[in-house]
Amino acid sequence: MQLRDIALKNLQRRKTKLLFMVFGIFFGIATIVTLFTLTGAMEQSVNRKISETGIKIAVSPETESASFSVGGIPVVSGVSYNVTDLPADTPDVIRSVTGADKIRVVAPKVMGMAAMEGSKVLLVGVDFESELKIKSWWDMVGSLPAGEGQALVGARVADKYRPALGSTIEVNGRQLTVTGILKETGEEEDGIVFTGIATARKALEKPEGYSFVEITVPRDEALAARVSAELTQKIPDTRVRVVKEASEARQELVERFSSFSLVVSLVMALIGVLIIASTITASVNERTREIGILRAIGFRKAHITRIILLEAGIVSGISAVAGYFAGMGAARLTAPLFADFQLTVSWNPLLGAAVLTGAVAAGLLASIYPASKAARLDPAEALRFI
Amino acid sequence: MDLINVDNVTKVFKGGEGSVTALGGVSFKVPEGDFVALMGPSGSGKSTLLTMLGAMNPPTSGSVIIDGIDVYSLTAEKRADFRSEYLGFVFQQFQLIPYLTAMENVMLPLAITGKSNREQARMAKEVLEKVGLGGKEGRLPNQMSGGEQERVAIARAIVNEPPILFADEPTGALDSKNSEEIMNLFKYLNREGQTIIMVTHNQEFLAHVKRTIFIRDGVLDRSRHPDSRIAV
Repeated sequence: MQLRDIALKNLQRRKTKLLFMVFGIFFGIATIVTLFTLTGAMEQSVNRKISETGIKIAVSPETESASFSVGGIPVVSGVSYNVTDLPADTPDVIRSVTGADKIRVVAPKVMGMAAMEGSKVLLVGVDFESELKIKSWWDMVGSLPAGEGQALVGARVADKYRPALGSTIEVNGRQLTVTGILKETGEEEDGIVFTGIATARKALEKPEGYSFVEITVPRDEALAARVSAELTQKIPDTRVRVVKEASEARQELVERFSSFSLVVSLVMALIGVLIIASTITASVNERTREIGILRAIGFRKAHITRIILLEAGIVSGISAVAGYFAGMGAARLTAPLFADFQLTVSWNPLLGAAVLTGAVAAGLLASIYPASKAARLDPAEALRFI
Repeated sequence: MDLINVDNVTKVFKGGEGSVTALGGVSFKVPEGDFVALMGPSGSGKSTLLTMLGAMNPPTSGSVIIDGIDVYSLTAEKRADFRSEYLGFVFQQFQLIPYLTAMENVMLPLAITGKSNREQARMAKEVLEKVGLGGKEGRLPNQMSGGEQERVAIARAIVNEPPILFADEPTGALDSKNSEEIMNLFKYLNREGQTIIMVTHNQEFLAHVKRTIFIRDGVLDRSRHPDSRIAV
């Protein structure tokens, strides 16, 4: 018979209370593990996307716009005029700036409003290979256009005109075969018809020049600023600006979710600590006589403390292990609900070790008061209740 | 040689309604190998005296010296060690741990001695056989009769081979047959050299003990000792 045997035997005897305590801690730990795992996976996903896409720089022609209001009420707002295109050599100029070897993607675009079945849509000619590199979140039914005369339509356009894959749509009098339909992104591309640059030039009657060029550079703020400054100088009447990427906006969302998870985790941890403290305190109160006997037959205060802390440690440890596996399971089950993030939930032994250590430490911390209360029990006083 | 020397001990409890004197200057000596009965009416101070002898209840004044050690000059933790090494207790109503088997209950005092489980089991088995419970090691307290539970309690008290065995109303919960058997067991242990101090109400058992200490209102009742069998 060792002290740990006494602790184990006592736990075995109080199965209902033990289960209640284990379940309370288990639930808290499982929740914490699920939240942390999902948050971690989201952060990984966003960081991966940010790292893949880098910093985006938009190069567009300098346009002028005017607004007019009467008595403070806007009558005409943001009307662009004097709209020009970027020079035809813009991609070449971009590839000639200092540090051009670091530019990852140059994605030029030719765009304009076009008539489609009696209404207007935005037609954008792109180089699909480059475009896909900067729009890594694109998800579609069908495939990207592989040649001229083909189109990829945004979700809103598809909802409105219901084109079938392989069918043709008429844009500015030209027949384009729909090879793919983008799934909803919640961004501008939902209302756009994408096609190849050559097709767009013909449909929009823009034989040369570009409407807009997107560039991505690695995540290096100084490099982005240098490239922007140089392009502003080299291409006349141009507006060059660093664009806030969608994934960066997602990063803010993840950060908010992370803060929320932290608050929930702290609340769960506090509840767990209170459950342990109250259950162990109740257990000590019930065992006054038993502890008095142990003290009377020579158990030191340290022995009693060790028995109580062992009980709390064992319960916390079991709950932590079960809670970790349940939490990971829940994270794996719920990960598909965050489809936009394309989460990859992987086993994290470090998190497991941290959960185990944290739970046992919290269990011991929560049991310090009842353990010291038990140890302080005066044996003569306890034996008076016999 | 006196194993226990109680010198003019007093115990005063201070409460909201003034102080209560539980022991008012008690002195006696107990030689090694003695078998002493501690008798007195309820509230006479017997239990206070027993816990005081048991190194659990410091006197307000006076001293308790056991085997030459001034018990209350020790720190609380050293007194716990002292109890473990020198004293065995048989409590009222057996006071076995209900979820431990007879063997485990007896092994309990050994849990803090650093002995291996195997060694503890050997010692517990030996002492259970000594009290007549060979073959019943695996039984839980609720699977045993009152007499058997009392024997387990005695086995637990002597497994450490303490020089002194205290018993508080050891037959209080037993019928006369079992009580007689327990008293015979105590006599047997005493014959083997065990010093025993027993609190009892039962006058019939006075014939079994070597000496009796009567206590009333916190002081020794000398009028009850016409034969001067009390060591003072």
